[in-house]
Amino acid sequence: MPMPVPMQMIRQVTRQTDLGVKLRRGALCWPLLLALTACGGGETAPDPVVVVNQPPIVSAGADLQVSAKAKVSLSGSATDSGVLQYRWSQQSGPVVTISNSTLANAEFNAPELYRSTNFSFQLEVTDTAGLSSRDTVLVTVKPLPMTTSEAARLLQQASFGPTAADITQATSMSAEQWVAQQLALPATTHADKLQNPPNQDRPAPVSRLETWWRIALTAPDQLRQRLAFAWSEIMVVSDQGNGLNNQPVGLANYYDLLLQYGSGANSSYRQLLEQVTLSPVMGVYLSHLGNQKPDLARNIRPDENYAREVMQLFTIGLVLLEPDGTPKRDSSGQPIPSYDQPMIEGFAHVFTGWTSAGTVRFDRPQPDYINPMIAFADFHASAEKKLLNNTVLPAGQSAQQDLTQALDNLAGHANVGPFISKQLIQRLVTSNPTPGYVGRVSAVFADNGQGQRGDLTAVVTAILLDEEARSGDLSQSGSFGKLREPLLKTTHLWRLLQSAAPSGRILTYSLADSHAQAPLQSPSVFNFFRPDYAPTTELQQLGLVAPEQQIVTDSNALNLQNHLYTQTYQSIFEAVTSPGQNQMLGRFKPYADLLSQQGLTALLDHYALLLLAGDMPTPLRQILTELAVGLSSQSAEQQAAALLYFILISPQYAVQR
Amino acid sequence: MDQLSRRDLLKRALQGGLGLAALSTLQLTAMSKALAAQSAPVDGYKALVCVFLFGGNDSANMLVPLSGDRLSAYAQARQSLAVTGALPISPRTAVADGIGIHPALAPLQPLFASQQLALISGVGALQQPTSKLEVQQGKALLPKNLYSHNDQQATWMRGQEPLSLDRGWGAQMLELLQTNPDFSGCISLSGTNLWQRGQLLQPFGMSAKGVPGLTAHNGTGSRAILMKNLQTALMASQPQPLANLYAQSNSAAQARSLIITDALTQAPPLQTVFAPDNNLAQQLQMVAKLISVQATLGVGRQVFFVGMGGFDTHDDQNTVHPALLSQLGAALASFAAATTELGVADQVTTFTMSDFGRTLSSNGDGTDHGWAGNQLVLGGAVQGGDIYGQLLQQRLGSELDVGGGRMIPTTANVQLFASLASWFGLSDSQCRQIFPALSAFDASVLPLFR
Repeated sequence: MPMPVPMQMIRQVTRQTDLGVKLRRGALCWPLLLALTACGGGETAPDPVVVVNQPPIVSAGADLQVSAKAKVSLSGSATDSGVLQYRWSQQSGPVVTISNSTLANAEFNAPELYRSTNFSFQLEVTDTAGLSSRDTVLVTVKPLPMTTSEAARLLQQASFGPTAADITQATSMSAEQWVAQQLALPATTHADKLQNPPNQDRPAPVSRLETWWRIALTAPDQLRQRLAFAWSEIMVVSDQGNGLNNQPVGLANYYDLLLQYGSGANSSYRQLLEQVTLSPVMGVYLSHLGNQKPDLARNIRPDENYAREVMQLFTIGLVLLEPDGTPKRDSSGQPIPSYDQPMIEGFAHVFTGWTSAGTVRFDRPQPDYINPMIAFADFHASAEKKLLNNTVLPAGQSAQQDLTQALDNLAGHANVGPFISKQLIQRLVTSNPTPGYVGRVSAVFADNGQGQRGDLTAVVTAILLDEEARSGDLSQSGSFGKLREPLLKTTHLWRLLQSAAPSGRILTYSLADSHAQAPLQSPSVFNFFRPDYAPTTELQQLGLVAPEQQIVTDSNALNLQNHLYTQTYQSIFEAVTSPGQNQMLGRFKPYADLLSQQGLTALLDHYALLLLAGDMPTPLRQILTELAVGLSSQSAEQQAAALLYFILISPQYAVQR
Repeated sequence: MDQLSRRDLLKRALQGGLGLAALSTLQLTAMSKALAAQSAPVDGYKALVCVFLFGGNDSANMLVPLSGDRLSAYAQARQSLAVTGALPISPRTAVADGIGIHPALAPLQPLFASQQLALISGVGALQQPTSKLEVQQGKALLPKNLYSHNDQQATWMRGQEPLSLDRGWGAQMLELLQTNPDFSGCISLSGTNLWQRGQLLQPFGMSAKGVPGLTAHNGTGSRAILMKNLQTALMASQPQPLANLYAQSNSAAQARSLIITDALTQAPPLQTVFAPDNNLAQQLQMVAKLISVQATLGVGRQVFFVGMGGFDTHDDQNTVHPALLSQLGAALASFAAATTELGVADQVTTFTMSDFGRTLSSNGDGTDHGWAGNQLVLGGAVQGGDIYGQLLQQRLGSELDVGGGRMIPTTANVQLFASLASWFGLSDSQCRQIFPALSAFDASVLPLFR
């Protein structure tokens, strides 16, 4: 029976051993133990041992969880005889300065950050003989809960407009926690909530808009809804001037696809692209529903509409891009086209043979605007198809096989990360992200950290938690921000005022006049405005774009102002005596009370937080004060309403920063 | 630009610079006229009206053969999309085997016969003449992104390939002809557009319904005055570029709207009927009203922009396209009648532009993005009743067919633009300045005008 050998002997034999992370008494020693005793045994006394020096036993302390900006103590200890030398060093994580790094107890300041981040530090202790041991400690730095203005800034980017309640709820957590919580919420779908317009027996386009407003104003899954709206401006369908003009249910279902596949748990870009491609609403809009294989005798070739627009607008764009979103250049400095006519024809052939669910005869499509399209083999082009990146689909594949592989080909192209990421950033955060910002998000699109491509939860989290999103108003003051879209000004306003009509309905009929936009009602597949629109010479020379300015004309700028005036000063719930049944009325009591009880400064501070994330410059404050003074003979509600109107039309509010 | 004089400040204000909300309408109008008078004098009054057909009009189907070999080639190319019932026209330059216009364009037939309407055939975007071989070998120097909607819309509006600063030839004409072109010479009924963007000029964008006033400023009491004054202060220049863009744009909207509203009160009633359910007709009706108050506005040259969407007929072309052409024809005919009623027919020229023509070949029930097409030019000064350029041959596989019936243009769109600009008052060198590609083509001007 092997006799256990005292550990002292083991240490002799293993002098100068680097014991690594922690001294593990088991694994290293047993084999040696057996070898040493193989020839021994019995009860003879051990041979005399010579005591030699051994390295210290080191502990870098237990793993820590700390807050951003906290002073963190690294508590090390070591046992050994003699004078010991201590040395702390950082092994991983964003670089920090370690104070007292040559003492057992060191410190560092956890930086400000927006995502939980791991840092590791190593303590190396050396004895007088020069033997050393090391140990590491893991420090997880968690972001701080948001301040009120930080919460307001995030809510501007990730909701339909911050309210006091939203801000209070958000300040109990960090931005990271808020975003994670939001993305985990179930989606509030639209299609199952359509109401018939008054005196009508089925939903109409106004019904779809009503549901959109109601959800924007009240649904808890605000970020997912904002994302659906953003996707609706990228993967565009519209009911304007085409066969979808009286298909509100179909369009609401399409919107739900964007909502359910474009946000939330397990949302992937590849899945979203497939759902959009197979949507019968998209099939009608970009005419691949009913698209047929070539008929050479009649010079008929497949419709190229979807093939062209899916590449130009939904996936890769016109030119090759670096990961940071800047165009690649050829040797003469010119941008490089990302696809050519043969590729368009290749994809056009892929998208053949598809028609609406329930169809029996291909040339008589069933009017189904809800279920995914189905394929008819006889109408699918069977020849080989040239796609991107030198991929050629072999002849003879089924419609489903061709579609799957073609969508893989599109979604897998290196352009998609920067092309899509930059547009999502523009929809939520800023019109002019730095290439660095785009690059960081593209990297997450390419790989979410677990080897997955196109993980939309990871991408959206990366967009909102990036330092540029969280503090770009300070670091990029000249170029950061975006013009607020008209629809989002109204959602914010109605959320702040809890606006409602006596009838309980939200019926908006002339949004094209008052807002120059409405959900899923753009004039073409190019959305209301282009991502690269630079409206003036001045902005072009600064290298800045302002997409939302493309819908602003002299008339509709004034129309929107008038609408905001109507919805504030002329729609005070507490003052209007004979409202129209469907007239939206705003509740001004909380603001009026604040003004009466705590004074103008308190109200302006409150408005500043709700509308400007706390940043109300002095000139604006002075104008508002003058306005209040000039209206001092009016009721508190009227004053509160007039002040709100002025902020809503101000240049400060016009830009979301 | 050196130090800004008071005059320059006012000019900038009216083009889109500072806020002038506090000034009365009369003061603004007076300033506007004073500025117009100070600019380089132009000859009388002329207006160019651009009708943009968004989406890529299948304009080849506007002009179809009536018989013979050309008809069979046409039928073979177009299949179920071939137009039947074409209305014969007799261009001065006779076309063998006859030529007809799309039946939906019936209202234009008398305008062609009375020589107010011309057709420009085989016209499209080109940087230089090219051939099928060059295109197929990838050696042709072509406009960038030839079949992309937004790029080609921009190509037509710019009149040249993209430079670092975006300008359109509509506004550039005004800025070349006058040192201080008034904003009211540059009006859009169809939104922001590149054609009307110049170095300083931004189009005045209004709707066919008119120009709104600001409700908050209604009335003459102290509250209205307070709102007006404080709003002016609110829209002062901003340090942050996007906020400044908003402030400038907003104050300009206010100031400019007051001037246009005031001028429109002087508009005489028009007898000509414009169909109320025809959106293009409604836009052109407003253009006619604006032209009728041109003297009040004090402008010698005006460019107007109107538009119609829906021309991207990949699908259902036989249903959709005739309906669109019907609206187009009716609207243009009403507008021609209105200019006659106003006594300005010779001074107003209307022309179409579109992203591109469409494929001669069919995708089953529609067409895809093409290249060369036909455009219309209408006006009392036009030498109408003829087809200019080479008649677009609707024959697949011809030496102009680069694939699927996408046809190489035989007339460059800049040649058409130069002809229009020249009539408008630009010199030859000014034309070459804003249409640099012109030098690549022979006969730089189509003899479109009397």
